Amino acid sequence: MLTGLLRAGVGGRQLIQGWQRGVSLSAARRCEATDGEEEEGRAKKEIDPAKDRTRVIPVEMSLKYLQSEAYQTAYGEDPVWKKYRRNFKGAFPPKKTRKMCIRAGVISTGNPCPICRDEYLVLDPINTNLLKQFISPHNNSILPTSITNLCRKKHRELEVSVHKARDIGLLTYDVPFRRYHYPDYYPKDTPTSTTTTTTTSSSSSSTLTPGS
Amino acid sequence: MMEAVRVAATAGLRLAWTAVTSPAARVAAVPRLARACTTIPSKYDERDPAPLFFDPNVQEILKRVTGRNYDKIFRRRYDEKRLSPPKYEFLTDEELGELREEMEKKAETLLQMPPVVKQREPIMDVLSRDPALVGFDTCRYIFTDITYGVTDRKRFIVVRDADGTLRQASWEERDRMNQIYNPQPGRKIRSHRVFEEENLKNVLDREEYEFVLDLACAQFEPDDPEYQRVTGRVYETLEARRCYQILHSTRHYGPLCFYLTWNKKIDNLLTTLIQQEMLSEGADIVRLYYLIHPDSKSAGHHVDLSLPLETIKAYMEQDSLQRAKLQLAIQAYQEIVQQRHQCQEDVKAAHGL
Repeated sequence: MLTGLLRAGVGGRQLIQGWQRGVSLSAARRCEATDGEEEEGRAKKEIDPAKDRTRVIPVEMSLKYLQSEAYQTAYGEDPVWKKYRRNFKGAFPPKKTRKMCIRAGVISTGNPCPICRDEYLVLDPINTNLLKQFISPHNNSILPTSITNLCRKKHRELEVSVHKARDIGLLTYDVPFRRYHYPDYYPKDTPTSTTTTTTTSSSSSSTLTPGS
Repeated sequence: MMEAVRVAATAGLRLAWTAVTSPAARVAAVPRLARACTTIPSKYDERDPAPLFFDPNVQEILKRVTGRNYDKIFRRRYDEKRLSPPKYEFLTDEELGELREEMEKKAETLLQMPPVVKQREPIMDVLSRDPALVGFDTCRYIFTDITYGVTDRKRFIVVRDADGTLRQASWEERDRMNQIYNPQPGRKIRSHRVFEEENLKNVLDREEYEFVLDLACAQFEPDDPEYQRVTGRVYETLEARRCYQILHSTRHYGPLCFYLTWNKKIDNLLTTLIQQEMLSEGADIVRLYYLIHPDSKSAGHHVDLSLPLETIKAYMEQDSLQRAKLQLAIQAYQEIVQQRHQCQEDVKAAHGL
């Protein structure tokens, strides 16, 4: 019955706005599918707990995890991407890594990327110990996916959190050098431009004589 | 005069933003009490320090005090640029001398001190009031002169308010427009969140002083009240922790010394300098103190360049606020020197010389 109602609604919308059609239809189909295979769906819903990523891990837990013994045994002193190997056909890896490893809260691949495979690694500006593993020690740039092998979604998240961390000051970097043009701040030729500068300059000239 | 004038329409959000950071509110936030308490950074808002800071004598002293640790000046910059491999060359003495000179010049530019100037006054110039234009639009219009070659400080920027007033842009509006039309590297239109009090405390606890100062230089103009708040805060932290030497051989050491001298807080600095046996620098600081405060009691004393300890002692006797501490440091230094001398004598005697 629900499907029927939805269908009717969809039909109405189709008449008014053609561009919404695709989206609405797909939603209706999904409803139909779940209705039809309810028994099978139940069975399907029991996903492998190892592949379930619907639980949200707070950053604090991730921070604790990075200090824990479990982390030490899993990764040791190496960065988390060090021992990961990509699967690919042929001699050369594809230039881009995969778009994402987790779809609809479930790991959708056999070889998820270093961040996706461990659900306790949370990319967040506060989690600086994790972020530092993805930053080059030579010039402070974010390591490319050709080295870290992160999926593109996680790499994007990494970039965002590194920039946030730098904005807050949790990660530091070398700021571009600023060269000052002194006459902008203290014009030597016209120290008598305003009343305030005249008083101070006259006082300073009198003050400087005994010292020099 | 204006070759190219561009209209920058500002939306409602922009109005709210300027309202929050209006200069009047910021100035009012600094109480008069600040002067008495040592932990609150003081700003250059009464006397103008610029004529003193740009005085050749003061500049020379500040440069001398800064020191030249080339390892520190030419350290590797972690600036996300591609690394270039080092080059090795065989050179004659002449060529080596030339190269040395060149690098000296380079060090000079790298050590250029951020100017110490008076805090800027809010701009309140109204050019014209046109009641006929009331309600001409819901937003303000900003007109910016983007002629090539005009510096940011001299750029002509005016604002037409929604009530028809034509006025000079405020400092905040100026900074924003300058960053839009003439972007500076390392600067953001919305200031970095490092400068918020909470984050700043966190960064300073990790002792990243140079980072904060560099970032403040890139983000703010030197006469910005915010710049003076941030730098003052860093200097006060350094003073409280007595770790001035972190900034040694950086461009910020001169302004640090100037700030401490200006606020008559050089006693701890002198003590640490004596402990590290950098007496001539200590004497330089005392000389700087006399230049900045010519009405101090010991200012009339004859300053001898060859006897730095005497200069410091003269200062200690009459002007020092923590005389006991300074005296103790001087005594300790003298004892060490004496012991060393004695030791040398003994060694000489043992060798039968």
